[in-house]
Amino acid sequence: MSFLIDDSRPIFVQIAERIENDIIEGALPEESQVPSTNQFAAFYQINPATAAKGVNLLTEQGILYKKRGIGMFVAAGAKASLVEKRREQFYEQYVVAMMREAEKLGITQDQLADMVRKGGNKS
Amino acid sequence: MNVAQRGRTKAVTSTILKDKFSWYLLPWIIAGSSFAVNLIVSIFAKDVITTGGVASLYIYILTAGIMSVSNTLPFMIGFSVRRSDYFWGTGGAIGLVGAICAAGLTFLSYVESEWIDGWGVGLYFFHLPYYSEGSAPVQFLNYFLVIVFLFYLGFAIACLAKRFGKNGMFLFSIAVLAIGTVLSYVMTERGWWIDFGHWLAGRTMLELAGGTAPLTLLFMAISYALLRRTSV
Amino acid sequence: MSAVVKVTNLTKSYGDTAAVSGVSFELEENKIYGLLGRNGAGKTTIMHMLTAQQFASGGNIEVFGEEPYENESVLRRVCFIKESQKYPQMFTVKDVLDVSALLHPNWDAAYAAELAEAFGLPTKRKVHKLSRGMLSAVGVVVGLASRAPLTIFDEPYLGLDAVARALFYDRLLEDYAEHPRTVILSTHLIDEVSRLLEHVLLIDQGRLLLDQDVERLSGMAYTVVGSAARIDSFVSGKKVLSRDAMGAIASATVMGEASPQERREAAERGLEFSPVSLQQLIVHLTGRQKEEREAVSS
Repeated sequence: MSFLIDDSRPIFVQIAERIENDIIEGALPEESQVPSTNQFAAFYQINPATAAKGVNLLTEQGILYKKRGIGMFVAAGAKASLVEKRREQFYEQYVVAMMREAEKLGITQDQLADMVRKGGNKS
Repeated sequence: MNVAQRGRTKAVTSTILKDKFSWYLLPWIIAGSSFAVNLIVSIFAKDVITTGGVASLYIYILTAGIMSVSNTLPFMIGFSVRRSDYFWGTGGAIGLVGAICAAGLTFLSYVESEWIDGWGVGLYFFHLPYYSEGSAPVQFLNYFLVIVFLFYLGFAIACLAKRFGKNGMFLFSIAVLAIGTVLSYVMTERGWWIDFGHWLAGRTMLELAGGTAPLTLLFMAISYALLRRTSV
Repeated sequence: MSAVVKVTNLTKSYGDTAAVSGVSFELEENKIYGLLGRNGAGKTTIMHMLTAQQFASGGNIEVFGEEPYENESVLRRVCFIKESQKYPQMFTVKDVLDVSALLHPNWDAAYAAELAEAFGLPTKRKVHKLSRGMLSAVGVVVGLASRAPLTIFDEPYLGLDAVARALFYDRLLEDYAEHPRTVILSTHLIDEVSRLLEHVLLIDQGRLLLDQDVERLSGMAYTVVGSAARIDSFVSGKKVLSRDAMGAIASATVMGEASPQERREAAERGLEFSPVSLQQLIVHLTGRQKEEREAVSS
């Protein structure tokens, strides 16, 4: 079992996210070839059909495209559109959740802002 | 039967014969040790000894027929072999082993009677009066038919046990016992035993051995029918 | 897509007890299926009937479009690795591999030898002298190297340690990718294999309880945790698979999918959601009373 994958969400979605991360972080530059579904399957120890589903998800969104007989490649402009999408998700995924937890712990909005600033300085 | 099917029948034969020791050596070890015992006895005995020790080989073949089913059938069915391929593949194996045993016995009988008469101590083990009469091909046929008959007798009994289990065997034994009792009673009552004895005495060995052939075919047919409905 | 296996209304009864009753399903080509269920649910009986090793009491079985019984063209394409496989008394591991080569047209002897070495199988040793784990490894090697278009593994890992099991899963995925075939994995170690599977058949008390893609199953139920009163109001009107309470805190596993709005509202009331793994889902589904079970499958 691969610890890179968890049971919280469908596995193919997690595969798609891992490819997205690699594109955003530059590990998979635009116009570079993406590993085959069989390679994904072997690496994450998942069914190849599941890996293919994750890749297809990105193909449908135009992030990846297929070169016949060769394999899947990262589309031009993929990184920019992914960053855009992730920014939209950022608020929902991180900010709202953070506010909720802060409220539970009695952290005021000012204290929270301080913490964010401190975190920002560290990195 | 196409090539692929023949291949699977052969696979069964080669599976059975993989146990080379049990099929090629053990019959001779058993017959050989029986021979050795008789040889030692005849060294000390004054008279000429004629012994039916070869029967030990026959008994071994009978048990081999019984053991063969439980030893190889579940394995072969589990490995995607058809029941009919198992049946014919087994036939191939006993055909080969029977031929080897029959050839060996014929040869030893010839050696015993022609070359070294009585092994120097007056022991007749392989060449027996009446039993070993006839030419070499006739003797070979006699041995072969009896061996195949005994194998399929054991094989049919084992197929019955496999198909119907312990209860089936129990009922079958009771039925055989009952029929045997009634038959021998009737024969005693009508005085048929003596007639039967005379009839037997009037047959040649080849006629008797040949008489097993229909029975062998019957046992084969019974085994085949039972195997076709056997599950593992 | 062509159906490799088509089972209709399959039934097997021993006297009055039904081991398998009214099971129907189809298996498509080149997928990995999980045949799941508790011990004694009827999985092994179904696999024995698929391979014509046992006889059905009723119903119809087609494998590669034909009846498998005494059918050489079907059986030569099938490799069934049974947990209870018997071997001839004198057979060595090498003998088993040699015979497999004769029976499976796609047999790859070099691959078999490589696998035997990877699993540390002593090929000269008698099969009867092998440990349970090594015996399982023999089955795994035969099952993989046979490359049979329909390969069935019944609890293939018994006695294998975690390392050997991982090796099996690795090799299965690897070889399946290169030589696609239809695989049935029957197991109760569901968590370990759930990611290898594409589709799940769940058998319970002789009946087919689920016939579903794994991806669809992962969203079929969820667990929600929070204060007992709020949990009760949240789950009212929903299909609850199980409910546990510890003091004022309760957790409930609910069949179905919570809408994003439901999740948001529940989260605001302090309820937490957690996913239900395939194993948990199956435990919930098969660990219940008969009436409840029927309510779920209907």
